[in-house]
Amino acid sequence: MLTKDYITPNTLYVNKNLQLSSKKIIPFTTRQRIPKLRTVGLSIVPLALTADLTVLVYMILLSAATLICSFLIVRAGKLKQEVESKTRELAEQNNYRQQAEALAEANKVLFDVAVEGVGLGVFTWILATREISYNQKWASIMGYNLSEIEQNSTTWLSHIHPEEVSNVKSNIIFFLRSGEDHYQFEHRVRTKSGDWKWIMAYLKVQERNEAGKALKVTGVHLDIDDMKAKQLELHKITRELMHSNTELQKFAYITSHNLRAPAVNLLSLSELFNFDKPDDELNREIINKIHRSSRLLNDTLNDLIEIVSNKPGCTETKEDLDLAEETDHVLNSIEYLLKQEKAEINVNFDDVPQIKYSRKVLHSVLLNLISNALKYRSTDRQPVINISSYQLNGLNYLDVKDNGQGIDLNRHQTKIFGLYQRFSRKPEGKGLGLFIVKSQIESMNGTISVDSKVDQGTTFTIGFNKFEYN
Amino acid sequence: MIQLLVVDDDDINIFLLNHLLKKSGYPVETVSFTNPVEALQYINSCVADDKKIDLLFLDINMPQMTGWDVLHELRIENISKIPESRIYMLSSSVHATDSEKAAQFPEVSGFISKPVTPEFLSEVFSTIMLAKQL
Repeated sequence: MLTKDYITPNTLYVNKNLQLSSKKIIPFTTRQRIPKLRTVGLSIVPLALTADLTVLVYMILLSAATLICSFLIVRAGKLKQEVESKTRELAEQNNYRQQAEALAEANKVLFDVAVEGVGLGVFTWILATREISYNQKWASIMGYNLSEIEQNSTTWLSHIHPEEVSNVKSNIIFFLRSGEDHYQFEHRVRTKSGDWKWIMAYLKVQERNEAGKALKVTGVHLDIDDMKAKQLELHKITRELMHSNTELQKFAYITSHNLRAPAVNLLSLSELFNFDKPDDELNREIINKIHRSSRLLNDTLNDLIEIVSNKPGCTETKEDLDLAEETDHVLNSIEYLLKQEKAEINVNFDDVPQIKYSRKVLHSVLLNLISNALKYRSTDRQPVINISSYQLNGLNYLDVKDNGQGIDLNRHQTKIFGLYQRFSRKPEGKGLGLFIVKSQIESMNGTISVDSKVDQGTTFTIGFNKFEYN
Repeated sequence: MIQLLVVDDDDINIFLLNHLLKKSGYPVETVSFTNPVEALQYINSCVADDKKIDLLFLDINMPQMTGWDVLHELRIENISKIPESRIYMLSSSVHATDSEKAAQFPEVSGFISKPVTPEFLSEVFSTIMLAKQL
């Protein structure tokens, strides 16, 4: 029994009295309690030798000691189990930590690859202090070194395009108040060189207070300038194609109508011709109308040829043109008409004396607009035409303003630049001029708009360069 | 007598139509305008004088206002006052857009791609005369 490798509470008691040591096999936690027990045991021995009562007390004390020992032994076993379990737990935790550290290291490598490879500008924003810590890439997207920029929200917000800044600010405020965790948007930023660049911003709330208010936001900036430029280009092309398509449909409609009308008349008139009585009065009228229809058909065909040949592409060469000189040239070509109508022409090219444009298109535009002003002059007053150039928001404009009949814009606004649109019964109006003018200006990436009041006059405004991205 | 109003900016069309009507022998009295604005004034005067217009041939492509504009004017002003009129839209166009648009106006009885034919006139006039007998 004593040779056993382990001890129970009872055997331990025997061990103590026989002074037998079982140190070797007593577990670590139990061993600590033993000296205390031994002291108690030894102090009792002399009492047992003096009296029976002493023996009884001794026995009682021994039983008590046995009980205490049993309790201590059980407790020691439990403690042993606890220590073993804690040790295991610690080892597991250690293992987890090592794994987590390895994973974190791997993630950091992935993160670094992503940030560098895709070119992500990363920042952390403490909302209360407006402090933002940007990474080097964030600064370099805008052409700066990290040392050149201040680490606060003003740096970002002050670089946002004026057209977008108020929108971005209100969207961020809305996002922070919404309780949403993510927000993504696009905007332009001004780079160090002064150019504009499209970026995609992604925000994520990292920390909130107990009330749910966002305290810390992490953000990512991605340079999407190339992608955006392609996207905008694609939109522009789609818009232009849709526009061209509509124009083509209108063109097909109106040309088929205008070609078919005289052709149908020619056929009907020739059927009506009385071949039995060639000298019939009606026949003379028919011949007259056949002649008119043939002329109309011929004119329509010539118009079509003019439209097709007058449609320059963007390849039209641009040259530096002196507006006063070119306007003079056009006015000289219609000198007779100007004298006949007793027209007064005022020019003012002080603000923008020169433009880079196609001479052919400028001549055609001026000629059409000036002759229109004369054609649709008011019969009550001398025609006055003011031609002026000016700059607005960095773009060049040319106004041709008359004091003629005017156009009822409520009724005709959408048709003014349409093919074969006439708003007057003046015989010389074919409704071709403004259509050609518009298509020429648009093919040069310009714009034309009209403002008019009936019986007061009309102003045509030509924008030489349509505002475009970049 | 059937009262016919023709509005077409092309006087050759009116000339041809008049001949066709003369040849057909229908009991018809024709008033024609090359200017739709004047035609609208005429319609107003007819309404004022309580004079009926049985049939209206309305050209679509005219410089001052299109046939659609005329219909619009009639709608806001007089269409309710000439309820017995049959309105036909006329055009040299052969595009489906015109006939489709005509179908959107309930007051329009039909769309004719020019030239107006004797067969068409026969159909229209027989319908009107039948309606008059009833």
